[in-house]
Amino acid sequence: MTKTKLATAVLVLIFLLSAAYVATHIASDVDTNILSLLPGDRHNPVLSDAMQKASEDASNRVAFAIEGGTFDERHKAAERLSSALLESGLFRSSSDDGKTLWQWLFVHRTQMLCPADREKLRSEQGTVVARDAMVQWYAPMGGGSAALLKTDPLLLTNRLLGCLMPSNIHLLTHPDAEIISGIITAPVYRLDVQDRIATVVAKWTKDTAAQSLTLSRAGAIFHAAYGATHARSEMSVIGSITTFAVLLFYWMMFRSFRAPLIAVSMVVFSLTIGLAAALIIFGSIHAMALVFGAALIGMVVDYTTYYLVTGLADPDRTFAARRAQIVTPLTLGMVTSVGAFAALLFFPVPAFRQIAILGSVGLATAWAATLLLTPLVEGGAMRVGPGARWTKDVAGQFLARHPSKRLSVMVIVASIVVMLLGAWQGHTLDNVKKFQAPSTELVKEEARIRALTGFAPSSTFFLVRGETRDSATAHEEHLLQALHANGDESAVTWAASRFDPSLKQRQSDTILIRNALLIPQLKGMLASLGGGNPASYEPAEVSAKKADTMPPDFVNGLRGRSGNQYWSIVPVSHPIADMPDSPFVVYVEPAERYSELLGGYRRLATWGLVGAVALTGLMLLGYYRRLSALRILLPTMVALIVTPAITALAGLPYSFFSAMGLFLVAGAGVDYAIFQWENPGKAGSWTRVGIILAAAMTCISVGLLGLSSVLPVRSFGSTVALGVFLSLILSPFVRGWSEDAVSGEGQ
Amino acid sequence: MNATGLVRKAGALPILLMGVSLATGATACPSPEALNTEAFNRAFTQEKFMAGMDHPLRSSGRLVAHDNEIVWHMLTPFDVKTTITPQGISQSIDGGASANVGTGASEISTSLARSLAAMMRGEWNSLKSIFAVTLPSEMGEGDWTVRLNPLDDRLKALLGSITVRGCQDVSTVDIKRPDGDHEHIQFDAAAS
Repeated sequence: MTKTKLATAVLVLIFLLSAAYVATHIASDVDTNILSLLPGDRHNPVLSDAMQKASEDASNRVAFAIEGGTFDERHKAAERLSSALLESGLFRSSSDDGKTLWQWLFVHRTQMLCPADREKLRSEQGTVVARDAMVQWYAPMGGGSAALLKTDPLLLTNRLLGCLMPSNIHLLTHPDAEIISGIITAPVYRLDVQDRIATVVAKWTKDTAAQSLTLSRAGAIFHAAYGATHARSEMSVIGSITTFAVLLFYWMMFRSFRAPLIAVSMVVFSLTIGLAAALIIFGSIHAMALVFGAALIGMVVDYTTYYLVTGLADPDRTFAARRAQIVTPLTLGMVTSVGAFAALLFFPVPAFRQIAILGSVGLATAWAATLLLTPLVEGGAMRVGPGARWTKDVAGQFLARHPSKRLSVMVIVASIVVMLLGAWQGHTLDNVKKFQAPSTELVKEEARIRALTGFAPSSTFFLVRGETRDSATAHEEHLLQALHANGDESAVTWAASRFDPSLKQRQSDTILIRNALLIPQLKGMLASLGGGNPASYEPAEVSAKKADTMPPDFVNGLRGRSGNQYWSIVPVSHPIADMPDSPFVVYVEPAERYSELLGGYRRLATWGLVGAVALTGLMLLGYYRRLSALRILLPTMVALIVTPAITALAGLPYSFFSAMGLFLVAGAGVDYAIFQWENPGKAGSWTRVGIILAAAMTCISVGLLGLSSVLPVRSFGSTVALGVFLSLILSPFVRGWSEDAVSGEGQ
Repeated sequence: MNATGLVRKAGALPILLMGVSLATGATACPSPEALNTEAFNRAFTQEKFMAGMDHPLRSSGRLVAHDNEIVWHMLTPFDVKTTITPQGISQSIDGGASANVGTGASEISTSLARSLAAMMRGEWNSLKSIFAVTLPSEMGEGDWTVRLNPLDDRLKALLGSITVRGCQDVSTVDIKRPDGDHEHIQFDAAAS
């Protein structure tokens, strides 16, 4: 077996394994969280982890409200939906949290106090607490029961629950609505999780269609599903139109559907291996990486096109001769493109690293497949189609020209003017809140649930840290005390330290409860009641269940640890007037933090582009060993400068994602320039047809991303399409300029 | 969650005492659905029977309702006046100044207070959003009986079943809890 055959066999084997891997993982390993597109901040791991946890904690919560119909209809419909959600294995009802919370407070009832009760006991007002309990015992429909008479006659658990529960949370079912609330127990940004929950809701909707019931939903999973549906729809449209364009263009060029079949096969072949590599390395892939992957179709097709076009020039040449004609520019172009993609690996955004692997592996595979597989499946050279002849005679002529000095000056002046106008009129955008407009229907449904339940999720929080769990809890207690002193305590809905205080606070409260309440009040109160257990608060009685009791999940959800740092988050529901000053506390607004990071990475990406261009220049100098080879960079450099200016003048702000698009422009643009450099004059006439066809494919497939509803995708698509187009029409500048414009083919 | 624990300060919710039913064996009572009292002011006595208690817990006071305001005033053994309006719930102890009570955990108390006021007014249809209401299928001689079973599981665990008896007006309310405890509330006759 020759080396070529062996390499071909290995390539095919890799494809088969990749196809099997992708087929078994693609359904469950697609991430649709838009926050995954944002840069992580590993300079501050505590802050990064806290923001991640706050996001996860908030995003896993879901609520449903069923309204309309009769009570029986609502009640039965709610039971049906609740059962179906539980049967899916992805849902845990929040009523379980309530039971855990009651048990937790019950076993710690002699160790914890509400702030107001702490003040009462410190000022020797234990009688007030005892009297409140007596009032409850005597009250019609009061809170006492025979079981509590034995274990908690002072009704301390009721008291704790009453003061620790946020005042805006409705505990009782709304008379006109059934509420189901809980946690999604699997990652809500996974497509398969979204699909399974959507299936449950759709079946419920179908089953209850005959009743006049309405369903409102709240939760990040529904927004993620909405975004994913859009992404899938966009991918479908982009993929379909690109496929149609490929078929049409190839037929017009080669008068054969064999060519597009070969091209599509190469696309499937290359992207499957690229996708498998990304899935294996990262464990999952972001939906937006798949959308960007759709854009790669145009670039992958380029390589096949370059090879097939060599058959138009001289059908009688051997495979080896045709391959020899393109191997240098194709390899150089592939290396520079892969280099541009690989640069994305340096950005701390998982989705962009996935694109880097998908793109690099995909393009490298396309390169290998073009040189090894295409000759095997081509089955003979193609015929020259009407499009190919027109492209060669008209568009190709344009690319073959030596630009005149006058034109060159005009282009340079125009570029400077456009750049200045763009800088003057355009603006940058780093605000993550403007990336994707939410579904108006879902926003309306969430507002309805907020009105029914009183619950409003908060995205801002205090981050409290400490060297130990207990010190972090103590710092949180100091924060709450400071907020209380400033009159801002109501801004805090939940705080872990309220339910699980520090050791010092616990010891202090235990002594206070015993000395100011149990010893002076319990005996007399039981005598007045005429019953009850005098030993109900003895340590042995209290600690009997303690070992089996864990803090409620929501308390654990507010806490975390990064390395040796313990931390907790304290969600804040409305702005704080006076910010407490503490070295252990920081106020965090995630959207602003992400925007700051994104702005930083936008600047970094822009400088990275400068570095990538410089690196490409060094590679060209290293390969060609002459200074004039740097002219290869000229068209791409002008395109890189002018493209963001034109998009800015068109109203599209310059963002981190525009900068990412420019990386692809650098990769593809340098390819065209290398082919122009390598194939000057008449000999390169069919090569220029290949360049035009390749650029057109990229512009169509990526340009359609410019229609996306998601700003990052829209910025990326518009930037790449315009940049590639400019790189193409400016590619004749690789030849330098002459006093007068002359046809390159005339040389 | 132990639903019993959700009720705070429910002891401040006095119930009007009504006189012994005017109904006698010889007088036919109107249907409970004909009971329609917009405003009332009734005295009540209540006895709560619990396992482990030497004697029942006895309290008394007045229940007053007019427009959208409900006032529960327990007079003995404690003087606690609770006022419930659509704007919120406030409480006064021993005739002192009223203080607002948080709406969180006391929400159930408020709901129960409103429910009892609705029972006194004979607003059975409005109670159907919270209870399964069983009205007498046909009126015989003597008092009528209406049974209410909470629809909400937490309320069911807290209250158990409720039986309302009366003739011209509500005379007694009996609450039988799932754990065997029970309450008997008796109302004085309505002032004519």
